[in-house]
Order: sequence, then C-alpha cells, then structure tokens
Amino acid sequence: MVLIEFVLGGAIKKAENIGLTSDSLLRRRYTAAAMLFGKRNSKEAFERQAEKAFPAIFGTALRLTRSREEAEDLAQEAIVRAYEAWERFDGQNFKAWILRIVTNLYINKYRRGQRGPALSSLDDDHVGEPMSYAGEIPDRVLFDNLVGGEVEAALAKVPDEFRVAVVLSDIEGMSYQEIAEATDVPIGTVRSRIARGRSALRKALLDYAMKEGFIRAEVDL
Amino acid sequence: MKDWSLIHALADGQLNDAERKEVEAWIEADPEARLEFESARLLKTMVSQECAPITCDATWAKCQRRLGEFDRRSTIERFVGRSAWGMCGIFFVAIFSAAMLNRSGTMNLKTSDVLGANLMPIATPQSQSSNENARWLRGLADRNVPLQTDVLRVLSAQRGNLNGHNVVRLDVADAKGNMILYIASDAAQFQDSGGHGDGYGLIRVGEAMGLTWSKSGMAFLLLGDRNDDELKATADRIRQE
Repeated sequence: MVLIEFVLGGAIKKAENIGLTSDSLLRRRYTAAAMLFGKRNSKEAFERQAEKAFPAIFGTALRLTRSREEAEDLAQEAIVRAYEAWERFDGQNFKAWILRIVTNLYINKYRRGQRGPALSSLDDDHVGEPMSYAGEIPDRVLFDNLVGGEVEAALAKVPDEFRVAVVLSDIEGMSYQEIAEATDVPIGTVRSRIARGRSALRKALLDYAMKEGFIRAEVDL
Repeated sequence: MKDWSLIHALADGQLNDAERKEVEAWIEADPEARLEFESARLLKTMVSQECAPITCDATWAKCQRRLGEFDRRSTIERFVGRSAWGMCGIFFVAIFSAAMLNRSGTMNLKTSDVLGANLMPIATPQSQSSNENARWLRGLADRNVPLQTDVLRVLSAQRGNLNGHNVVRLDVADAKGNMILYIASDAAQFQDSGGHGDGYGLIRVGEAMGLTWSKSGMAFLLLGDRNDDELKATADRIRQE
C-alpha cells in the first residue's frame, strides 16, 4: 500500500511538475487504486488490533456475562460492530474503544435479559462509608491466601453495574473518563461504583476466606 | 460527610492536583482513611494480578470467520445497491424481448398445435386458374406465397390465429389425390419434425405422412396419404424455387 501510494503519488507529482497534467485523470486512478488496496489493508489493520486486544475483549465479556456461551456471542458481536465502525475510530486507544463497544452491547442487550438487583437507589455519587474498618482482618492476611479462581468467583458475586466499573478499571486499566464514556454515566458515578464494587468484592472475599477456613478472625487479628 | 470514593480515586490516580492534595491531607490526618487507601490499593493490585487476560483462540477464529462473512455480505449489498437499477433494467429488457419474440412469431410452432388449431372456414378462389390462386393466396398472407399454384386445386380453406401466427389450412388436390397444406406465417419452422434432407422435415400423423419446410418467413406442412418419397416429389413440384 505504502509502495503503491509512493509510486502513484510520485508519478502524479512529477507529471504535474513538468506540466504534463494538471490533475484529474492520474489523481482519479490513484484514488481508485488506493481505495482498492486500502480496503484490504484496512481489514488487516483491524484484525491486527483486534487480535491483540482479544484476550481483554473476551475476558471482559466473560466477566460481565458470567457465561462462556454468552461471552462468545458478546465478543463476536462486538468485533463485528467494531469492524462496521472501524472508519470512525480515531486511532487513539483501540482497547478502550472496543471495550466501550463490549460494555455498551452488554448493558443494552445482555444485561436486560439477566436478573439482577436494580441499583439505581445505590447509584449515589457520594460514598458515605469506608469498605474496611480498623479491627477487621488486615487485607494483607486476607489477600495472601487467595488465588485467581477465588478472586474471579468473588468478582462474579459483585452486582452488575459495580462489577463493570471494577473490571474496566482494575483489570483493563481504563481511566474513569473512559469508563464514564463506556457506561454512559458521569465520572462521579463511576467513582462511587468503583468504591462500592471494591467494597462488595472485599466482602465476598472475606466471606469466602472465612467459609473455607483460610483465616479465622479471632486468630489472625 | 466524607466521600470515601475519593480515596479510591486517589489509589487509581484519577484525581486532579487540588483534589489529590486535599485527599492526601485527609489520609495523613485520619487512620481510618489511611486504612481505606491501603485496602483499595491492595485490592486493585490483587485483582489486576489474579484476573489475567483470557486467551481464546477458538473464539477469535470464529470472529475472523464472521468478519469474512460480513465482508462478503457487504460486497454483495454494495453490488446490489449500486446495480439495482441496472439489474432491473436487464430483467425488464429480457422479459420485454421474450414477449416481443413471442408476439413477433419468430418462435417455432409445433405441428400438433397447428393440427389441433381452431380454424374458421373461408371462401375459396372463384376459379382454379394459377393467377387467381396466387392472387387469392397473396390476399390471405399479405405477401407472395412461394407455391406453384398451377399444380394445386384449392378445394376448401380455413383460417385462424395460433400463438400470434396467421395459420391457413388448404384442402388441395393434384392429379394423384387430395392433400392438406398448412401455411403458418412469421414462423421459422415446425420444431417437432425430423430431418429428411433437402430442407424437409418428416412427420407422421396417424396413417398419413407429412412433410414440413420453411421459406420466406413461412412454415409449410403438407399432409397426404402417400409414402414419403411420393410426398417429397409432390412437395418438390409445388415448392416455388
């Protein structure tokens, strides 16, 4: 593609310089060739980016839907939607852009079909309580005994809206601004959802550790 | 009332300078806030470490297949979108041409259709002179009919329309006996007659033999109770070369 652009572009410039042509015919041919090769190139570029981001796409889809089958559907649909909108991508941050599509699709399509508590009453931007208190089991003791599967299981118990925010922030490393755009809520709401999500996650981890006997409050304190 | 979510935002590095200084001062002064900050940082680190990206090559392969299908569908849709009017035009021209061909009568006829056609009797020529017969035939067909009218006597005549073709049945006689001659105007040939050489087609209708030929945009069918050589000899005599 670059070579074609170089050759055709150079030929046009040269012809113009020596006064052979002012424009139209060569430039039209150049545009047609660039479009022809550009389309194939564009797909290859998209696939390169999408393949690189796919573990994040599929991971996010799986963590949001909590079902492998739905995650596959969601990931595939997101890829196709992203490909349809590829020309509108600003070229800045592909992963954030496509995760935004994944999240939007999940909220608009999959979330509607799932049962879950309505969280609007909890969606206050202000978080009035801390997630951990002095006198509780120290986090280092709690977290040291946990492995990936247990964290994933606890994360799955976090209510939907909070889980989306925690996944996008802590696993995918998106900024609050990007999460706000992906979930279509104000930044303040994102901030409170992350704090509440972490609080719910910590509680689920604590319950799990106590139930499995990894820690005992009276001993480990 | 304190907003504890600000501490999480600090742990995530999402506060502006003014907010950051304010929350840092709060953490400095409040052990509970420090605990919350440490807890948020540890939890964030643990989640990011333990929840690794999930590779799934099979799903990615499915995605690639769907992209391929999407591309093919888009190509077809674009082609149809751009060429819809052109394709409509082609279909219209094809249908119109077929209709015109059908109406213009350049299509072939079947002898069975001609033999079963519903024809109306018409008046025969006043006399059996060659000139009178030729004039009468010209009046029927609006053109010169390539027949030797002097070797045929017209006994009776019928006329009708079959699939846009003007069909005339003549009951004729020569020295050897009676025959039936069908003339179909604007027809290339009778399509169901077998080849017999010299431009003739041969058919059998019950006990009678039939010969077909075409000339000057007309198709002829001669039926007579004679064998094929005799019929061919008769046809040779009445065909106007």
